[in-house]
Amino acid sequence: MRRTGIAETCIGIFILALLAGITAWVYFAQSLFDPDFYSVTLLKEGNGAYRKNSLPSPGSGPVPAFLPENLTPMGPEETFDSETLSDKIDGKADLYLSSGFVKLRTRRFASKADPKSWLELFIYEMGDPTKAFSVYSSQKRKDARPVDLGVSAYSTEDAFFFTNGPDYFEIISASKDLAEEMTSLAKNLVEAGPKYTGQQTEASLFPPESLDESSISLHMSDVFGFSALDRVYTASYSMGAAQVTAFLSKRESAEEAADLAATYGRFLVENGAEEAGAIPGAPDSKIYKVFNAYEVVLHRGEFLAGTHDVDNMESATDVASRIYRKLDEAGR
Amino acid sequence: MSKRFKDHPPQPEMNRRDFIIRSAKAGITLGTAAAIGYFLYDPVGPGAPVEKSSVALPDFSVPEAGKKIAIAAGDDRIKTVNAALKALGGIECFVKKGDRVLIKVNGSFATPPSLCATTNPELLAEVTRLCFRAGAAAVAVTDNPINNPESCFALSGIGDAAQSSGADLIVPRESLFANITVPGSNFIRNWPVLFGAFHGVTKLLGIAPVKDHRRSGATMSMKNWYGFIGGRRNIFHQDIHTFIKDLALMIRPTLVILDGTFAMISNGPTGGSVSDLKQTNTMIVSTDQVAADAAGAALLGKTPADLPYIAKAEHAGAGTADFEALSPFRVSTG
Repeated sequence: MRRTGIAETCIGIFILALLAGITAWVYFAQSLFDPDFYSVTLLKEGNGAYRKNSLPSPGSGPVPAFLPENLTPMGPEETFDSETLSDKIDGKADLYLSSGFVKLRTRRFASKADPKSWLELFIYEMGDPTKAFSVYSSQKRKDARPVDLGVSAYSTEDAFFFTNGPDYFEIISASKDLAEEMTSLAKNLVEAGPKYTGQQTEASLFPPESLDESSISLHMSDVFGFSALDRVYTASYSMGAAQVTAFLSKRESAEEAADLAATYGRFLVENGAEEAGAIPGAPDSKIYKVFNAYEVVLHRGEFLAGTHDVDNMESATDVASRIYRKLDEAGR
Repeated sequence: MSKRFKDHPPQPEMNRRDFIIRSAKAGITLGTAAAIGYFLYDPVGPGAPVEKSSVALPDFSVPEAGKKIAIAAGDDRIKTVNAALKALGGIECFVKKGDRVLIKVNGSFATPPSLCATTNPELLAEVTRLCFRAGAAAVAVTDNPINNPESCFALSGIGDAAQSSGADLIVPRESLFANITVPGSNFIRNWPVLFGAFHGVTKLLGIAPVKDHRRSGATMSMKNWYGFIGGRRNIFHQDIHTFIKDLALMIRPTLVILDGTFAMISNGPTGGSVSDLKQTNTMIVSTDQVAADAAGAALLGKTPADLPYIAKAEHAGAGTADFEALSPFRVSTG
C-alpha cells in the first residue's frame, strides 16, 4: 500500500479539524437557542391577544364612482390579502386561497332613505378569469336566478353574485328592500370595469340540447375525489327523469388527456368499478359500472370528458357520445 | 509525447486485505456518523416555550344536573328554547340566585341576523331574560369575533339584544387576554385566551347557530368556543378537528344551546344569502356539548362520524357522541 505523504496527511488533519470545529459550533449554537426570541417574533406578527381590524367610521372615505345615488358609504374600504383573508371570511378562505386568490376589497353601503338598510360589496381579485369563474360557480346557490349583466351572474332573494374577468363580486344585503340598489350597483360595477371577451370557451363545448346552462361550474382540484383531476368544468343535463352530470377539461396536450383518462379509469377500478365496454363509434371512450351507477370517460384531442355518476347507462352514454361528437367537430 | 503526459509512477496494487480493511473503516465511519445523527435527532424541534400557566378556567358544569339533552321542534326560537329548558327541569336547575352568567355567542361576522351566520339576537335576549328570572345577579355576553368586534356586535344585532335585555356586552380588548395552557390539549399551550371575561363568572352558557364549515364540516357548540381564543388563531385551521377537541377540553360549560331553527347547509361559515339556509326547526339544549353537536350533525345532513372532532372530543373525555344514550327529551312546540 502506498504511504501518504506529509502534505496529504496535513490536509487530512486540517479537514478533520475543520469538521470537528463546525460540529462544536453547531452544538454550541443550539445550546444558546432562545425560544423567547421566536415568541417575541410571533407576538409582533399577531400572536398578541387581540387583533385589531380597521374600525369603520361612518361616512369616511371617498364615494366610489360606481355607487348608485341612493346609497352612501358606511365606512372606508377594507382590504384583505392571503394572510388576512380568514379574518374576514374564516373557514371559507380555503376555497379562495386554493384558487389563486390575490386580494379582497370590501365596503358597506347604506340606503340614504333608510340607514338601517345596508349591503356589503365584496370584490375578490382572483388573478385570472378562469379562477374567478371557479369560485363563482362552485358556490352557486340552488335557487339562483340568472341575471342579464353581460357576464356570468345570478341573484338570490338577498344577494347578487357575478364574475367579470379576473374578479368575483358578491353584493350581500341585510334587507330585502335593496333589490333595486343591488341591481344598479352590479350594473355600474360591470360597466365601470374593463370589458372581457372570450371567457370560458371550454364551457361552450357542452352540447346545448337538454343542457342546464346555469349549472356549468368549474372545479379547480380533487374533482370527483381524484387528486390528479383538476380544472374540470361540469354541467347538468336533464334526460327525462334522469339528471346527468357531464364533465370536460382541456389539458396541455392530447397525450396528457389520454394519460389522465387512463389513470382516472384505473382510479375508478381500484375503487370498485368494472369496465363495461365503450361507446359505439367512440374508440377513445370507456364505460365503467361503479356499483349501481355509470361513468363514461373519454378523450378527444386535448380534451378529457365524460359523464359522472349517472343512474342508467343509456343516459350516461347518450350525453357522452354527444360530447364526443362535439369535440370531434371542434377539433376539425 | 510531452513530459507532462507521462504516466504516473507505478502504484503498488491494492490487495484483498487492504480493500477489506479500507471498506470496513469507511463503513464504520459512515455508520458512526449516521448513529450520531440518529441519536441527536430531535423530531419535535425547539418550539416556543411552554410555561406553566398561572391561570386556569374553572369548570362551570353543574354536577347534580348530570348529562342531559333536550331536542325541541318548532319554528319559533322563543318557544323552542323555553320548551327545551323546561324539559331539562327549567333554567333554575342550572342558574341559581346570585349567579353571574357569561353567555358566549357566535358573533364572528359583521353580517345581518337574516344570514344566520351569528347567534340570533332574539334568542340571546330571551336566554338573558330567563337567566335574570332565575335570579342571576349579572349576565354578560361576549365573543372575540373574526371581524371587528364593534361592527360584529352592532350589525349582527347581538349588541342591541344584549343591552335591551339587561346584559353587559364585553368587547374584547388586549387587557382581557391571558395565556393559558389546557391540560391534555395539543395546541392551547401558553396561548392567549379571553380570560378576563370570566372574572367573577359562576355559570357559562354557549349559544351557537348550526352551520356548515368548509374546513371542519360544521360549526356548532364546541367550535363556538373558538371565539375565546386570541392571537393568530387561524393557524389552528391546519388541524381543525384536533383543535376543536382542545376547545372542548378547555371549556366545561353549564349549558349549550344549539340553534337549528335554520341551518346553514352550504357556503359556511359565512354563508352570503338566505339561499344557504334550510329551515330545520330544531333547538337543542344540553349539558353535554359533544352530545349536542352529535345531535346537531343531522341538521346538516351529516352523521357524527362525518365530523371527526366529535369522536376526538368524546375520546378526550369531553362528553358522549352517543346522544341517544342520554335518553333525549324530545318536545314539540306545535
